[in-house]
Amino acid sequence: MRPFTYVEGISVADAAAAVHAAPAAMFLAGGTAIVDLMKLGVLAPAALVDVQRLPLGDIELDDRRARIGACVRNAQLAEHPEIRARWPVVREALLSGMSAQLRNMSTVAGNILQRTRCPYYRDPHSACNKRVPGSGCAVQTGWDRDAAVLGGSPHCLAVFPSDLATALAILDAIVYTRRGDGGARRLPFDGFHRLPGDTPERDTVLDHGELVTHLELPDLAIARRSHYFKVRDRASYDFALASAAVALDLERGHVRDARIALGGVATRPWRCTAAEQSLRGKRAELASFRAAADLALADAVARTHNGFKIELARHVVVRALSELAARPG
Amino acid sequence: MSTTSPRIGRPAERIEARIKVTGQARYAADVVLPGLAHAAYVGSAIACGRVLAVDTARAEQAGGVLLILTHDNRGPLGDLPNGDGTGLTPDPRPPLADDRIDYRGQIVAMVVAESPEQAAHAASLVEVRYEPAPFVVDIDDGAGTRLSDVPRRGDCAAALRAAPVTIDVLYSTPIQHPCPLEPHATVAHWVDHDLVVYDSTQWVLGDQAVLARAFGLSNERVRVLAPFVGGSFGSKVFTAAHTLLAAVAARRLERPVKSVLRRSEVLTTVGPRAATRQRIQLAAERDGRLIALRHHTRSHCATERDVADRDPFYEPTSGITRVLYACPNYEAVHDVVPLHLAKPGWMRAPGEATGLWALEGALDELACESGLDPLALRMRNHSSRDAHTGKPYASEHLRECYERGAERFGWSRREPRPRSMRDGDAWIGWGMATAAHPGNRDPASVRVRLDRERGGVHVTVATAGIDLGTGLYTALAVVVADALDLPGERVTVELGDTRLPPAPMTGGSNLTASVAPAALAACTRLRRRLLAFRRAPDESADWAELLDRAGLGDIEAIGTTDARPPGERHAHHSFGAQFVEVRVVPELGRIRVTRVVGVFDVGQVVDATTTRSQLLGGVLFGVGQALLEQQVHDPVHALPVHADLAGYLLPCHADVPDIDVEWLDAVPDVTFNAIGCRGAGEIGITGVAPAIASAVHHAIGVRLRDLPLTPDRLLAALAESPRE
Repeated sequence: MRPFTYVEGISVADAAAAVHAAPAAMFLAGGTAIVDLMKLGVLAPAALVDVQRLPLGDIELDDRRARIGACVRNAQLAEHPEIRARWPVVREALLSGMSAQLRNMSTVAGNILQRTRCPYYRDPHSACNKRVPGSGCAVQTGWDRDAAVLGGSPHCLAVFPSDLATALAILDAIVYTRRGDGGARRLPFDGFHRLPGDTPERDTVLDHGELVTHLELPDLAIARRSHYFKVRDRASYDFALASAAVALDLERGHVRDARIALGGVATRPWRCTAAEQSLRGKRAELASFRAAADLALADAVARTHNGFKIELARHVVVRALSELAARPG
Repeated sequence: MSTTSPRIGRPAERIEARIKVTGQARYAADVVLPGLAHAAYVGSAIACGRVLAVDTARAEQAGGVLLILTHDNRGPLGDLPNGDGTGLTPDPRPPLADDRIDYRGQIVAMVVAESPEQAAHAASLVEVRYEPAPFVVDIDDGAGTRLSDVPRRGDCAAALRAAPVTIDVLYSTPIQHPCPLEPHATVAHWVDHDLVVYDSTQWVLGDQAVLARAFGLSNERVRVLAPFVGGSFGSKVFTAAHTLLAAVAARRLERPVKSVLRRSEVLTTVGPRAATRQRIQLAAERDGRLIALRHHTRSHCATERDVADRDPFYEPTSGITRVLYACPNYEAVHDVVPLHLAKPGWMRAPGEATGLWALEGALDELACESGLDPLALRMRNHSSRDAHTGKPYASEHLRECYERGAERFGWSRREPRPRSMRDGDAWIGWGMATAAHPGNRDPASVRVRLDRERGGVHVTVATAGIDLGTGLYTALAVVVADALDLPGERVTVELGDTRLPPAPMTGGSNLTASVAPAALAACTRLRRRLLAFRRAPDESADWAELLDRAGLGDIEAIGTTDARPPGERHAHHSFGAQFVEVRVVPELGRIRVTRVVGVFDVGQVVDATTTRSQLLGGVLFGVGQALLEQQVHDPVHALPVHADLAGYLLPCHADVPDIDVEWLDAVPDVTFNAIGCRGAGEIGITGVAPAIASAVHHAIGVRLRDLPLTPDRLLAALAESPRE
């Protein structure tokens, strides 16, 4: 690990300004990802600005929304009774990921900003455009079993790993930020994560020194019937091979509205609007779910070893919708 | 006799548990000495070729750096012993010997600094230029060389041609890594030109021999200590490159040097279980009786030089397949495939864990083909003697293991047809396989000493043997307390020091069977000498009184276990039966093991607590082997894709099924040693993976022959098989 300076942010504005002023500075929250990556030599920030003491650790709720501080711990969010009642998919997604220890330490903003698990990103010797822009993408000729089948480019096939982000993708979430120059932004979650294209080094639309301060979940009737379903190699403590966040608004056995997003298979949280559209007005039954799943994966592209993810993700969508439809209420 | 002894075989408390859980047990990486310096390594970024230049200029300027070793300045090291029985190194060529690169991750520079962080940082500043050469890292891409030593009996080819039922199948196993909780660690310290090494090792005497040769010292001038080792699974048998380098650096700096491998270094530089490709051909009568078994294995080894030197590592898959079942015609063929990877090594049940994967899988296929119950097929081919040498087993109870296991599992209720049991979305399948591991025993000696102290005596048991966390401390305490009829708290056990009476490497489940009888022999000698001071044969004087009468403050004796004589009349082998239940959700590629029943014959159990722990751990190891563990390498860059424990998957709690392990009571192997015990450290893993695959077949009718049984493989197999 390279030497670095560590400062504790005193205020939101001050922390954002501090990172903004130093090109090689980064924010530090729970540290569960960034410290690992620093040890591996993947990230080498000259300075870390710790934001954990900033007043960003609360969950505020009213009838219209949930306002979740960026430094709320993932465990804290998962255990909140009202989150559980009004946005069950959030809790399910969180509990399907990490270990209890990591959930206690890691933050909500850190979760949606986590970097890919692609082995070539995590190895400093390998070509990886996400780590070193212009260096190439070793997975194109390499071991691609875990690579993305959706949203990839010739420059990057790295799967975006966050379960929480997959859930947020169906909840019309809003990301609030404070910029290093003092401004603030309100970013719809839909466009928050970028496709890799030819600039895979940028996972999100955040600028350097832009600090996520809050997430907002608007109150959403459909979210009350929402669900997260995840398949992984290991029974627990593992990243998704394929996952789906789904929500259904049902009326007398028919789908009035639906939300579907995929995780573990795409380069960003993957909202499936065409699949959602196809369900509206359909009977909530297997055939409809299968048709929606086919649409969700219609654009998927298989590489050498990751083709199974396409079939698997279809089944995951069908399973998630079927389980959710069978729930009472 | 041991079986009537009051304590042997009962559950004891681990005598070292308290100091372990309170952090007082000092492992190698815990050792702190005045002036301690810390090492970090630069691993090769290429898999094959040459180092053209190592630029250490920037690294030398970094804070705290004391020394950087490369092949240019490492200094002389003597030849290393290998294969002569005194010690083992992964490579007969010492580390940093020259500019040649054989695998990615091979140490090309060592940095020593005041702190581990400074060493790691400076290591990242070392710049290495390479001349890469073509490499092969996939066993399926490499050319095999036939090993000449082919065990055979009868005429396999003829039998295979003529048999009414034949099976001809290919099974494979991937590269798998031993992942002990404690990474490989060494502290090397020179004291008045003598070397003292604290090491994470399975064999202090092996380390001593290697280090003495390397530095041109007599063995007495090298002391190696490993009182506590946090797991090994075979990976700490070899004296590692970093151990030698730590000693080089410590001598150069005249300061002690600590070297602790990072997990990624354990996963690249420490010998893994070799990949195998195994073809099993079976010929059988219609009633299932085996007529012929041909076992052709390809396994990977390190370099072409090893092959040329006739010393390639090979995964000894056929060791078990030739002995297990009654079968008149047998042939094993072994090809080794040199790859540009760290030299493979022995990993828990080497040969058995891999060989039984193939053989037991093929037998399940034979059972299906012949319409026989898999258990009945094993019974039909049962052999009460080593099928290859013909020697009868001195103590063999495999049939009881089968019967007892079947009863505990409920095997008789098994409906043979696949897809016959369902629970919600999951198909349930039941499978079974034979577990087997040879009885191993090696020469060993143990010193038992009685000290007169206030209120009685205290006993100290000492041997150079090592407890890897497996239970030797407790086993020795149990044996000695039992033999001297003393309460356990009066016994102290000292292990893992070359100054203690010599013991073999801890490996092949040999140590309790080697050391515990030696301890018993020492106790017998002590008893005899002290009992001479009784006033009458029936006098019930205690040890303290007898010592006082003898006018002694202390007394000690050494007991030994001899080498096994050539031409033993009997064979000694442990056996078991594994029964497994799985739940399979085909469309999700999901296989979960929900229940395992394992019943074993391991001879006389010494301590029930640690034996149970070993067997449970073995079964769980088998679950990991079956479902999760594999290393793969990038075909273009040779990168090990799974470089940490987030990528190299081991079972977590949620993967642990209901495991019911049991051993047969009162089955001491009395001609094996005076206690009648064989080892229990490895047999638990054997048979688990094939039983799981057989259960998967029973669940959904799909045969998986490549480990591990991952979702992608299950989905691919389903896509190829006819749908219901």
